[in-house]
Amino acid sequence: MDGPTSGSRMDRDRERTLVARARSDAAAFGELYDFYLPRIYGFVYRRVQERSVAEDLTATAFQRALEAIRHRDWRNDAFGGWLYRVAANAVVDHVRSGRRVVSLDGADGSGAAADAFAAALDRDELRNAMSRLSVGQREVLTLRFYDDLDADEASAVLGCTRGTFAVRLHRAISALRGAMVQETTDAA
Amino acid sequence: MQPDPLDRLLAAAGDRARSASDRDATPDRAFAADLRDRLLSEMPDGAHTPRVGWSLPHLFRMPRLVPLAVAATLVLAGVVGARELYVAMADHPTPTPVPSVAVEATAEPTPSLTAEPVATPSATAEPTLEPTAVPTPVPTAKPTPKPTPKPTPVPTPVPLAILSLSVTGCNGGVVLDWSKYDGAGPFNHYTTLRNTTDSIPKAYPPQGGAVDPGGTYTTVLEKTSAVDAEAAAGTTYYYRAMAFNAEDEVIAASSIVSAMPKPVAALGALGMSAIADGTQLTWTPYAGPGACFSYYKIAYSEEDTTPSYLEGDPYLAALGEQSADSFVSPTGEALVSGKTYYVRVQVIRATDLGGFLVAQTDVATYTVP
Repeated sequence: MDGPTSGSRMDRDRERTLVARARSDAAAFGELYDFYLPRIYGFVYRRVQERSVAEDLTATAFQRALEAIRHRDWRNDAFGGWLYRVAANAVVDHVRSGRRVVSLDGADGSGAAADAFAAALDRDELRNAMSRLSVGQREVLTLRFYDDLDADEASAVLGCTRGTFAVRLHRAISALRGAMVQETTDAA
Repeated sequence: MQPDPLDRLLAAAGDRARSASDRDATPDRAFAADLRDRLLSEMPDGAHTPRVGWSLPHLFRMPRLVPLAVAATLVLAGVVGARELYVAMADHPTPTPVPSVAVEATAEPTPSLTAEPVATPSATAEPTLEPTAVPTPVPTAKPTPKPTPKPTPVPTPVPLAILSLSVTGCNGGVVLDWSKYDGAGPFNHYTTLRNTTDSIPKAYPPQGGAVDPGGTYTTVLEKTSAVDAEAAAGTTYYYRAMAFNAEDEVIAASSIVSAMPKPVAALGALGMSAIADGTQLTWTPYAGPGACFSYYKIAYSEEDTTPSYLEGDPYLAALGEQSADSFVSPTGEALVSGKTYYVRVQVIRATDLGGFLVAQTDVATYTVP
């Protein structure tokens, strides 16, 4: 089975064809499943850090995908992005279900992924600069560079347009650059 | 264009982080296979890819016909789109004339899916022209030797379970809250319908002038609140929440209740001023009902002159106290010295299925000293 390899994307036309067929063709749904399972599982695991929970939430996401595809009102042609969105919602539900008081920030499980990503940064000033960013900015960078999502997928997870995601990503990188300058200044 | 060095650093870090977690972040093979089987078994019967093949006892009984049978099977497999060819160790469950060509669903072989005697030796030359060989979920009129694996739906109508629906007309939209379905039927999803009269039949697609406002469909049993943000301010709307099974049949319904949304409320000017180590923001708190308030989001932007949390602009803070009327943003954390920002405070009402704008201040334009 494929891992979540960088740069591997399903051709959009192929995906649309499979989604259209999947309503009545198990093989088509199976192909979508085989392609997205390792990606969705990895996306979920990086946030919950627990295999059994990741399996449950991944199963939930695909169950919803199957139901949605079979539902008469299915109109979304960006299946991959939608699936990431469903998985992200499942993570949020899971995280919130374990808390009595819902925090408005960081209640979406993105903290663990952002932390793991930050830990992989091999320069101290970059790692420190990352910690200066807002939760939203870290999340954008994590989705793009750690989860390796494209603009369609990441914007679906965030519930914004592709253009808005591009702007947010640009701003996050700018903010990171600014924070690195600040780090360097502080250290001097 | 040269790739940004910072982009490269981040991408490399992402690769490293993924590699480090590769083993754990890869699904277990058994889990992947089990889930695949379970999902595909839920596809409609007609969705299964057919298998085409022969049973060994049949082959042994008619050895001289084996080459012909193999050729016919390959042709038939091509026509019905079979992905698997098989040789069974025992006869097919349905007694058929010898030799028989059997076509069955991959996951749920049923006697009714057996091809009708394509069957006699003379017929094997062109079995592919027999369209009835394609598996179909529609029960055939012929008696089958054993019961089908799935029980048919209970024919007697089951009384509808009751959902409790409360609606709140807020500034900016109507909040819909219904009770979780706890009936005995097979729950598939919720949908709430809307009308401008108090007539909403318990059916889908909507009838009698009712409409699906969108945004209330969910297959998650525990998600029981949504918003109708498309409702026009000043109009009275009637709503009925319903739960459905997978066939879109109503299994639970609420009574019809009404609400009137109001326009998005204006909170007036947003004050911004420099204080030691930061910027202080002050505003008039939202005075509407608590049922219409979830939190304040202080949206800001350098480029967007009308920053909006719901449109994806970043925010300085999220505040859950309705009485909050000020906030201090430390300099350098989000707002950077020397830069000009557009800022406004927005009141958001969040539900299980999305939030909407309830109220907001005017946009303040502020340059951080």
